[in-house]
Amino acid sequence: MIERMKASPNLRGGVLLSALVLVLGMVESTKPFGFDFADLSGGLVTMDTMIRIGILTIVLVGLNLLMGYAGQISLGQAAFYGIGAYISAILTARFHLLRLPPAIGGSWWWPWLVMVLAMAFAGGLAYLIGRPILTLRGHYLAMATLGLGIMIFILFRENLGFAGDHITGAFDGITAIPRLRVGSFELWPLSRYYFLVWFFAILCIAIAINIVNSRVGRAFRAIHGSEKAALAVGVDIAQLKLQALVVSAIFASLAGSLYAHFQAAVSPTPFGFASSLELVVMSAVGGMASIWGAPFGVTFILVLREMLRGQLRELLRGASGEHEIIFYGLLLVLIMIFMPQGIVVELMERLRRAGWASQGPRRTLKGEAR
Amino acid sequence: MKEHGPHKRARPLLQVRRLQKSFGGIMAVAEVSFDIGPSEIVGLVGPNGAGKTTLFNLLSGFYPPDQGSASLDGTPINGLSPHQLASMGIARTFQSLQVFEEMTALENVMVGRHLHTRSGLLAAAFRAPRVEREEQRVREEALTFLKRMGLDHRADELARNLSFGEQRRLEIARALAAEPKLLMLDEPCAGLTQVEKDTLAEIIRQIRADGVAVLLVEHDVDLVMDLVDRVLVLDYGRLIAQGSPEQVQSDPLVIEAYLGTEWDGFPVPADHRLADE
Amino acid sequence: MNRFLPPWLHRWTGLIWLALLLASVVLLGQRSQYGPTQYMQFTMDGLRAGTIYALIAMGFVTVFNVTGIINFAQGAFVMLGAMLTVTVNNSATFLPPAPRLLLAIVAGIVGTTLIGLLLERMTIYPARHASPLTLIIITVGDFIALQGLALIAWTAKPYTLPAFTTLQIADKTIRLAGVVLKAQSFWIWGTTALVLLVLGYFFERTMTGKALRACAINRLGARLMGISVSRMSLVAFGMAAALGAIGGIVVAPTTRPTYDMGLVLGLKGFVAAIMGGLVSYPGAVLGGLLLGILENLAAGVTKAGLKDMFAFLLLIIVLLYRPHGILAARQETVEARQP
Repeated sequence: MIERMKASPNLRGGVLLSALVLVLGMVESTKPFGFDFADLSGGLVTMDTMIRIGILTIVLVGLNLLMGYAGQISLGQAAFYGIGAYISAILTARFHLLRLPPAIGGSWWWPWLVMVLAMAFAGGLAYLIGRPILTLRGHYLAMATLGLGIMIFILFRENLGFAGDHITGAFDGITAIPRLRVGSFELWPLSRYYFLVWFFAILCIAIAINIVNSRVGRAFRAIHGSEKAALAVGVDIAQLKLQALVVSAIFASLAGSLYAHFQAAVSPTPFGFASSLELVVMSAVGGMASIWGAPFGVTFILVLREMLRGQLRELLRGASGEHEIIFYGLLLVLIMIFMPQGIVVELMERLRRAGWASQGPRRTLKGEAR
Repeated sequence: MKEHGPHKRARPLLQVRRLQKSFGGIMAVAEVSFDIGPSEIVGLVGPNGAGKTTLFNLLSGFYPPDQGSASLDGTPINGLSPHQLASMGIARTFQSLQVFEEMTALENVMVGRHLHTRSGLLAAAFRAPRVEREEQRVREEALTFLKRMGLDHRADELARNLSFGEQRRLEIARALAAEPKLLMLDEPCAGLTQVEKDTLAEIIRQIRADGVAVLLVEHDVDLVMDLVDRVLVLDYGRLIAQGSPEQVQSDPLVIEAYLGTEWDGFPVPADHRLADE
Repeated sequence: MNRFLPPWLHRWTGLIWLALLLASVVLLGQRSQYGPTQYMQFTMDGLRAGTIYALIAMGFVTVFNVTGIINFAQGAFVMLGAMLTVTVNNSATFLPPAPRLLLAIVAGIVGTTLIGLLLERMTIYPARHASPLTLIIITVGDFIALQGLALIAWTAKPYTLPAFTTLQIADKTIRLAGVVLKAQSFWIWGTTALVLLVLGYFFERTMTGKALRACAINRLGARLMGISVSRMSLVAFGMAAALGAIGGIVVAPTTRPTYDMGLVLGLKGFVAAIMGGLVSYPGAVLGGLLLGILENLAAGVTKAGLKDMFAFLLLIIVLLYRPHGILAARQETVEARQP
């Protein structure tokens, strides 16, 4: 194991991250010396935040596969996130709509099944939408994804329903979503849910890294590099772009379901254009073509958001609204101009040049990408 | 169109019949027909704007033909997309050099092996053991292709850090990795030094010896005449001559196309043209 | 891209879609028993909204033509035009209403143009060699930043701008054959017509205009002729800002300008630009009008809240099934952006 860890930075990273997650989780659960997680960061980062970071990491990893590796822009990713959340919410909190008996609808395994169904649905939708949309290039694709994202958001927002039985609940959304359980073991309170979320997050990171280092991952990067050349060596770019989109949709849906069971309520707001934008900012910060950059990007932005909310509230004395968005904008612009590969990758390059990190290209002996 | 010398007896690898393509009102390729044998080097020459790149794009599936047909080993290849043609055995390089800049040389060639590998998304995601084995195999195969191009010492270098000549060879290595029957090279010697050109010419001969047919577009007439078995001359989209280099060089139609006037039969290399390129 | 249909059917796709759409609208309208008057009302409302989209679309066309960039921040220009005008109008109380409004309008246009110029120099120019993806994201960042600044400057509350006719909040209503129109609509149409005339003169008769056209057709050629592409890019952004501001200002009396009005308007302006082929001004106007009418009709016979959804549905449809003419034009301009 140690040998393998020496040879593979990805495995090292994975073990480190798992260890970090475990340690932080234990601190919160056991509260040694009487202080908990939030105290560690001066009240800035709570367990709540850590769970959100985990959930958004899952979305972002999928998004990075699509944008950073396969090079396809998505300005509507929050829609898939929302689909996962809403499907989980509707089918678990309002299962009577499906004429399901409480024996099934209220059982412990039903929400898990719903989660898988939601992922399948999101993947299928991505496939259907993707086939025509991914033939577009650059700006056109960006706008199409933007438009689609907003369309789906509007569907969440409007109080749609069949036969008078309203499904999506308009702005109020859906409440009373049950917590996740395994048998009789409830995955609640926060300290337990934290481990569940991060289990999935690390799993998704591992899957993404496996994909990146495989034939498919190389094909993605080839498409990003030069579509003509990829075609000329036999890469079916239409098919692969679709696969990237479907994978990203599945990840986002999983995250959405986890979110629904976390909040116990869903409303349309977190799944609109602002969130899709926030995801793009996170991606840019952490590095679009970097899987490890994803948790970093999410953490950076979420922590920044908390900090800004605190400061700005004092500065602007009771003004309402989300002022942090101006910093998102500035940040996005600055990063794209000066550090287009994202903070993580740029930092690694600079460390390498300064001799602190391992020399050589971004690839290891085993040819793994980072 | 004048044809010199007897037709190749062996069954042709590529058969092109009356291929035609126009853009707007301009006929870029007009009723072009020719054959390419399984193990020959064929040069495609002609003044600029003659339609060479369009013909390349037609044969590699990047443009659909308006009329005409083409077949590879007897199988019709009309209107197929580039990646389908690749799976049938046609590979090409690009005039504008399309290496994957953010990938290493080795990875570039590994992508070239795409058609000879099978791991899909699911298998890759969960690292099935056969994926590991296949990765190892692909890596080794790619390394051999790099070695043949003399690039194995640069295997782990990012493609954008390679010299121009190295990048050209990398593109060829990548194309060869697809194990094509027909390799189409679009101005492979553009921008190379004489030494590099000689090396490349030798490599192309080696490719022929390995049983791969080569169709190449080149402006360096000396190189082409020295290297190829046959020449196809294109002018204004029409094939005006084909045959051995000697035959074509003394063809008055060819001379007129290049120089615009009749000459007294003395072949003049294209580099010495005065006309605008 | 268009492999779902046989070639001969292709030329008629646009019209077929339109026919299908109108048929569904009428069918749905049966539920509420709409008569011709209601449809006329929807159409007129659509024409008014559509003219605004046309103005915004022209801003997109200007920037795209010269730089090849889709300026995501266009919607912010619309919002800034409206908000700046509102602020000046509310502050310059030392003037009587009419000159005050005039001053406010001028200030709004000039101010937004300056912001547009600044934006180009500070965020686009430094990244002018970057990939399209990077540039898109930069303009997205610009949009967010501008909207955020607006939030700080004006908070989230809605403002008001007096109607141009009455110089008060309440506007004059005009009835034409059963259709209700606000007087502001005529200001909107008139302004747009004026803008088209000015633009026409500008591009045909002035050096800068011709230089801009040259850039649009072939950037390398333009550079070889001594035209500074970076200066043209600046001009293009300035013009786009002005156009956006004008759109925001004339529409302001009919809605209530807020800091976030730019997003949806900007997107719809983009839809209109795409419908017009992204490279032509008359196309943009046509696209805008068509968009306005279609979205209003569709929302009128279903639910009002779905209006935006129909607009984006139209966007998707247009993106996927662009008629051949628009396709060819796009290829030409894309080719022109090589060096």
